[in-house]
Amino acid sequence: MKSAVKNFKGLSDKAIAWIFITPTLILLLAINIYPLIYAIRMSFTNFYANKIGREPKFVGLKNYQKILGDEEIWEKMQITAHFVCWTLLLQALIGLGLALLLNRKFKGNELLTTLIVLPMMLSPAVVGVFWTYLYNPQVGLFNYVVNFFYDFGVFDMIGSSTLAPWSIVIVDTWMWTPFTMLICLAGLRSIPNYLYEAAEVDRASKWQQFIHITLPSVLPFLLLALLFRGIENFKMFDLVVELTSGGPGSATELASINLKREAFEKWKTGYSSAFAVILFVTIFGFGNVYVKVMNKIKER
Amino acid sequence: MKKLLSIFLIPVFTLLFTFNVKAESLTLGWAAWDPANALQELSKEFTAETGIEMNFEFVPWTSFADRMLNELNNKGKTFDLLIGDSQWIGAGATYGHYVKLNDFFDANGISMDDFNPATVYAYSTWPKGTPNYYALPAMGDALAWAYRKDWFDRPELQAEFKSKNGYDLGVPKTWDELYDMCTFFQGREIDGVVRYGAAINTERGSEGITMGVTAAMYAWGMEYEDPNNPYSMDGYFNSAAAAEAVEFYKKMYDDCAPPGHSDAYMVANLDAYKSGQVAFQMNWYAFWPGVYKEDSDGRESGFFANPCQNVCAATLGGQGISVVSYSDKQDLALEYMKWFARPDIQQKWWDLGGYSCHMDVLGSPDFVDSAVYAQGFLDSMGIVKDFWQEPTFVELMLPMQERIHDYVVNGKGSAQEALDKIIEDWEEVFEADGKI
Amino acid sequence: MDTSRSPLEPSGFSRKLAATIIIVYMVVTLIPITWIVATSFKSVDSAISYPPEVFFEPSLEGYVNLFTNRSRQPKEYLDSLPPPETWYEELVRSREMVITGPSKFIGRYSNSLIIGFGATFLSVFLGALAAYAFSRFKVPLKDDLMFFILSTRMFPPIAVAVPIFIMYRKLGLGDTHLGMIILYTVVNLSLAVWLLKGFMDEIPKEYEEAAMIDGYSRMQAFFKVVLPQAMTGIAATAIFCMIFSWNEYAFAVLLTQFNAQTAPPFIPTIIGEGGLDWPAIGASTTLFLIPVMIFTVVLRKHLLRGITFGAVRK
Repeated sequence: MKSAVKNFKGLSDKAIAWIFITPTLILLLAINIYPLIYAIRMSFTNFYANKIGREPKFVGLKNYQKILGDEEIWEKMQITAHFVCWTLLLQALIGLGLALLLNRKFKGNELLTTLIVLPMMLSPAVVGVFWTYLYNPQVGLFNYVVNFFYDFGVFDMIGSSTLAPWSIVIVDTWMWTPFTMLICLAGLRSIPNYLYEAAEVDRASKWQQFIHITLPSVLPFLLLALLFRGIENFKMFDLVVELTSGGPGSATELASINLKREAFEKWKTGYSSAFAVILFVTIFGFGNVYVKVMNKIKER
Repeated sequence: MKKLLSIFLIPVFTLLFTFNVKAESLTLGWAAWDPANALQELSKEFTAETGIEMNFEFVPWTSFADRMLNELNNKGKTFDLLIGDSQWIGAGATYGHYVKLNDFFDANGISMDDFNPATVYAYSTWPKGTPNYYALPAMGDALAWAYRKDWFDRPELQAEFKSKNGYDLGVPKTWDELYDMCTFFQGREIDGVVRYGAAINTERGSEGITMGVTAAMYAWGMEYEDPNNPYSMDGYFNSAAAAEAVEFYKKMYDDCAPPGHSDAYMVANLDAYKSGQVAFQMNWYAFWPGVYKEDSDGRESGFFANPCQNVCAATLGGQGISVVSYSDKQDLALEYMKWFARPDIQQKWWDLGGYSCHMDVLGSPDFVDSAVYAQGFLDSMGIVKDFWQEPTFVELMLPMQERIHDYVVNGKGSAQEALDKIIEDWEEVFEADGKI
Repeated sequence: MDTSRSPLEPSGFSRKLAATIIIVYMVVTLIPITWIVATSFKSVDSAISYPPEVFFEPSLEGYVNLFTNRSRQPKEYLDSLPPPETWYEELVRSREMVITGPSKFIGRYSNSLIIGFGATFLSVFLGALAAYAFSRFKVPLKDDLMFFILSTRMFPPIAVAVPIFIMYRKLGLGDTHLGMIILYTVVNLSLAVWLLKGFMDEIPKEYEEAAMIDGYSRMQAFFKVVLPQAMTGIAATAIFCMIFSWNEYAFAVLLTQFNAQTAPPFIPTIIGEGGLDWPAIGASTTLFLIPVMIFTVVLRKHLLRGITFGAVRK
């Protein structure tokens, strides 16, 4: 044991840094590089995955032009944006609120926390299937509970093109609010106690403590949670497909659902790769800006 | 020492033994539904006869196409046999996924004349109607209707219906009669619970609503194209009669379907019917054995083929069994096919719940009496029409799904507009494919 | 250590209000789940009954159906059989079926366990190492590398499914446990690294520095000082990685068939007769929920811990 300690002592910080980072980088590069190159290369061709034997033809930017000029694609992007914005907003408010409420010592705290986290643990496909039942105007609990508070009569969350976009927002929020909540809660728990003690010594009120200590400390965590939820919801696929199949009509056809149809049903590999690249660049762009803002807030 | 040696020898012998007795095996892919269970059961006889193990991979319908077509496109060797959807035959033949079976049939005395001609046309041939066979008809199927015979038998309901509509409550002969009967049950309280008319196809995701609406369109006489001028669709697919049929289907949805039935296909229709919500359900023959067996608590199910209107027609379902050309065990796979094509096996297939297409089974004098839905099946198979089976069939299906769902469920635009737009989409696809 | 803080003065009212809100939220949130669990104990008919049954006669049919393969037999055959020996055989016989063997559920379940825990462990381990390095050291192009790691998550999975399928087939990783573990780890790493770095940034550097002055090497300081303090973040990260790997469907359907197929692609195939076997699906969902829940319960102590203070022990 003593000799082992001596060995480790010998490693410089720089060496350790590289030992710690390289496995991750190598693994990520190895698995991601081929698909990325494949997708980018395909996006410049008119390759159809099912027409094997036919050599892909280089078509330059034609796929990109087609997509960016297609009105229906913009509609899908709008639907996706609606979904992302509302789910993030609701999950931020509810998630943070719950975390604040749960961040106190009371009996059953741990049990409640574990229970609240349950929705997140279900498979998205199963969630979609069961929620179609819950949304059923006849036998579903959702309509029953809502009408309990205010009688709307018979309404169809999934079958109506105005309500359907909200139905998916509700289900996603139900499922993933615990994610934001858990991260914020862990963040709240990480706030060192001495900060509060020092503030009490300075006679700061509870509200001031909240504004000046709690909120700034939890903000980076909240933003981190929203960053990941945002990325996921931009790519959202299986939950919505199980729930509405993108319907009625195309009222809830998110970008990824359209992508799947192009790639896996029409087998338009070239076209869909271009669409995937465009989506990637969009997320990349937003992510970049978001992360820069996040870092600025952290520095402050 | 002796003890040690013997202990050592036992695993060695076991290893040698298992090594020598390595069984041959085949892998068959199909969708996960009742008939698949029946096939698995039936195939035990194949294993008993030949010693070849059968492995099955059943994929839920929702992922079936993704999984199988991806495998084929990548020349995967996972499957030796595939029971692919009827619409895949064009792709299977054109892109070389399926083995051409003509020589095999000739060498083994399997004649396509032994099978129902409509099924041969639909499941085996490509180009359509030519004697080029890429599949053996495995599962005959068509879209049909089930109804609550026990409710129909109630005298008070019969009397009320007759006084209201002037004819007897019973199996509807036309879509108009079907509509009358559905609306009769819509919102009616029977045994203390509110019931509804009909559980019809409205599914958006794969092919549900298209299969449903074409059941109406075919009955109105719709043709996809000019019979003398392939791919010329204007005036045929969007004829006035076709639009009328689509409007009628929307009427059925608005007036006869249970609330919330906006994305329903096979399972949802079954659940709605079995739970007693509706008087009628539209579904594939494949499910009738299960529905019939599960009749209980007074429920008695009757079955009938798609009602006529201007003409008599039914929506084709069903699949053929093909040999995957990338398989390393083609000879074994062909053995399975030879076994499956035997008349006695085909009879067992029907007995277990599979829909045989063999003329010996269908033409046998006992056939019609063997099941309540047998006659309907025979009738239906004589009047079936299928959706496009082109290699591009998905690109043709997708716009139809979207626009029909938008009109029927969402109420957007008119039936005529929907059909006109679909033709536009289809022309784009055919142009890109070099057909026009 | 009590690190619970509330913006309001701790009056009885505010405490009651908070408790009420939490309980209401919890009840509303858990209704769908209770419904799923309840369905697992219904019989096939009552699961789809209309109007839906709130009170029903419980039955283990769903669970029996989940674990067995059955086939329907004609009555004559059933009558010729010896009487059933077990309670579940009796249940199946009452439906005019016989058990023909165990279903593949257990195999799928254990695959999920292997792949789920494998991927979770690997992602948390590698993630923690990388997060620490990014947090403490001057790494060249740190921000860019961090963003690169994040960007691996940004590509729509559907678009990469086919190339990964091709790649895995060529490498012989198709339908293997190792292949799926690697894939899920790669997806989880971005979350793991970012989340853990976020937590580690909050741990004051003074502690390791104090330890190193006292004679610890950097490695020892990492393992003995920083990691324990980061348990909150590690626990949260582990839970999320576990959840993702456990429930993933899209890649599992495409890339696995017989050897490494996990439970999610299997669950929707549980067909009964004439449709889906809802009680069996409910049963599989319920059983599938248990390991993740246990995992969370085990980790929750670490999750709700605060940062400890006090002198570092030599």
